[in-house]
Amino acid sequence: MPKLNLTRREFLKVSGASLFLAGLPLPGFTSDKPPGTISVIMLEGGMDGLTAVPPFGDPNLLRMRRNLTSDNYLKLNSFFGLHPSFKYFAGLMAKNNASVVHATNFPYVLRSHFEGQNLMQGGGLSPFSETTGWLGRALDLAKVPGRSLSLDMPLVLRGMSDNDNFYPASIKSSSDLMTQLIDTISMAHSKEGSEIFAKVSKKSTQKDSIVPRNPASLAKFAGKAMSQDGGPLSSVIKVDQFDTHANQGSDENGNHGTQLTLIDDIIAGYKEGLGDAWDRSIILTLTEFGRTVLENGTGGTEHGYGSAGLLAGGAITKSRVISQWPGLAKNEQFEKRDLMSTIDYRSVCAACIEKSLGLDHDLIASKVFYTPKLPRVYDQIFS
Amino acid sequence: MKSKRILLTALLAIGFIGTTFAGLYDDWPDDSICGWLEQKPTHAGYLGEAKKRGLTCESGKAVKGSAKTTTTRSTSTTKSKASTANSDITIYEVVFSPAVLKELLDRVISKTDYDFSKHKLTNNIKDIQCRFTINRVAYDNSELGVPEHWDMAKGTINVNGSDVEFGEGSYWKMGGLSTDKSYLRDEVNIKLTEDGHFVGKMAYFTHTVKQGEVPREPLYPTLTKHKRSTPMDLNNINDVASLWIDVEDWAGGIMRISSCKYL
Repeated sequence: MPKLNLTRREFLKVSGASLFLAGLPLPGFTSDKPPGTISVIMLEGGMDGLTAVPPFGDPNLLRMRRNLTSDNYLKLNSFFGLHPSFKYFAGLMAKNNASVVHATNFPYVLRSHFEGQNLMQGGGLSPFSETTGWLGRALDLAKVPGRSLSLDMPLVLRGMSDNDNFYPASIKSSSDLMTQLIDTISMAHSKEGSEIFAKVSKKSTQKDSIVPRNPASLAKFAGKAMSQDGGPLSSVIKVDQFDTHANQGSDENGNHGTQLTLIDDIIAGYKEGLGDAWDRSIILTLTEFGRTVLENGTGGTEHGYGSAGLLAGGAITKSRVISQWPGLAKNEQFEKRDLMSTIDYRSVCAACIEKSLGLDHDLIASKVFYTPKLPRVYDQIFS
Repeated sequence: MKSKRILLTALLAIGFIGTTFAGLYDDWPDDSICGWLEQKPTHAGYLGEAKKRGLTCESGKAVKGSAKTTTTRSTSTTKSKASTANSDITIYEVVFSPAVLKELLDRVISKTDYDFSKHKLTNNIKDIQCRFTINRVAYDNSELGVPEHWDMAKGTINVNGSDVEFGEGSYWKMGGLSTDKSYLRDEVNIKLTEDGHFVGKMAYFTHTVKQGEVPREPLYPTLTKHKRSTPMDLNNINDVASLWIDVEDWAGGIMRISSCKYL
């Protein structure tokens, strides 16, 4: 039997991830080109923010998580560290192109994956209350209706209208049929619609739709597409398996550490693909909830509340950890078990929309997140 | 003399150990030192810091120690209260030591980044265009390598000053991702030296990928002044140049430059 000499990173490359691209500015629709691009990495399963960015300055961390905290972390400052899986992200922090928001999440406390994932994409006030997603609504407001390159349309990208989905197929026999179908639909539409379908038709026959299916290559592909004039303004990559109830591990070889490596690779892929467009880009992670502060009896953690959000991109010019640290003592935890969320992550999303799409915060707060008094954290992130 | 040398070595060692641990834990609260020490009681760093501070730890907490027990002041951290509506949000600035900073910055160097400062680049070539081909050299059966007689890539190459760019219409013939022409356009960073060599880095496809096979990412070999190369004669641009490229241990390449003309 042949011996497989796979490194850990090479092994990870076979792991699955999904890419969605959206917001192709269309002639006649877009009044002004938005100032930047926005990319979202959805981490499904509930990423453990206390492992990703350990607050080692909190004396309770090790008492409650002796087997989950790596002693090989990178020290960011006197209070926070960074998990050793984040090799590239650490480099971006050194370059002042990455930040962390800690003890944060969407305002959802019932710890259900389905509800939490729906809320983090919908950005509404309660699960399953929205049929559109916060990013789709933001693209609507920025007047960049367009395509979502995907087999299915994730909720986060669904807008009120004019968004559709499309996947660049490279299946040999499907191309002609698809082109004929698109041409037929195109002829039946008015000028604007016709332009849209012509664009889609052109896409469907592009040879560069051959993309390796590993997450970093998907991110690089997305970055390249977004770097082009008239390319998409937004992309979403979905990664799962953050639900580490058992054998979570502490270092980069642990179950959670390998998933963090995926995030690191995706961010590296984006930077490589974006090229010079990196300077106007912002990438942010989403997760439906964090994990319990205390490790469980099987070396894992249970569904929790607060977590950490990772931000990267040239739009960030000063690396920092932004937090209203709630503490890890029992009486400081949410319901005496979870890291408390003290920053509404919708504020972070709003700040990223404001930066990348050039929309006013009050407009985003009321029309995208339906919360007119949503706090503004733009200055903390981008000043 | 010998005892002096031993004493000097010992002093240097003590000094080195001191500087190794100094600073690393300086801004940690005493409770954090004790907390970590409880988990890792033999860790030299935590032991050294606890000893330095004169800490007594019980159940992971400092019960006797320096005045740092309750302070979170840091030499490497600036905590500032935000001045906007979220006045309770704290910004923890990120600061690395110069050595750590350099190591971290090296991680985000682009695959085509290259330091040209060690080369004498030419600057007297004005707008020439040449044809190029890239052929594989196989080292499977011969240490010297066997050039293969089919083109992996071909097209035109433009030189202006020391800048080298592949022309429109140039392409790789390796299938898969290589069919994306942007690799020859965007992922090339090579320059021409005074003595006619190409130096720098570029995306390079060594494996043929057929339809239906999993695409392979390019490699990013460094183009150097290879000892087997026949460089461009900048005084006689009609001569053919053969520039050898080391790629992998089993295969390399030769970039042949020919038919150069001034534009």
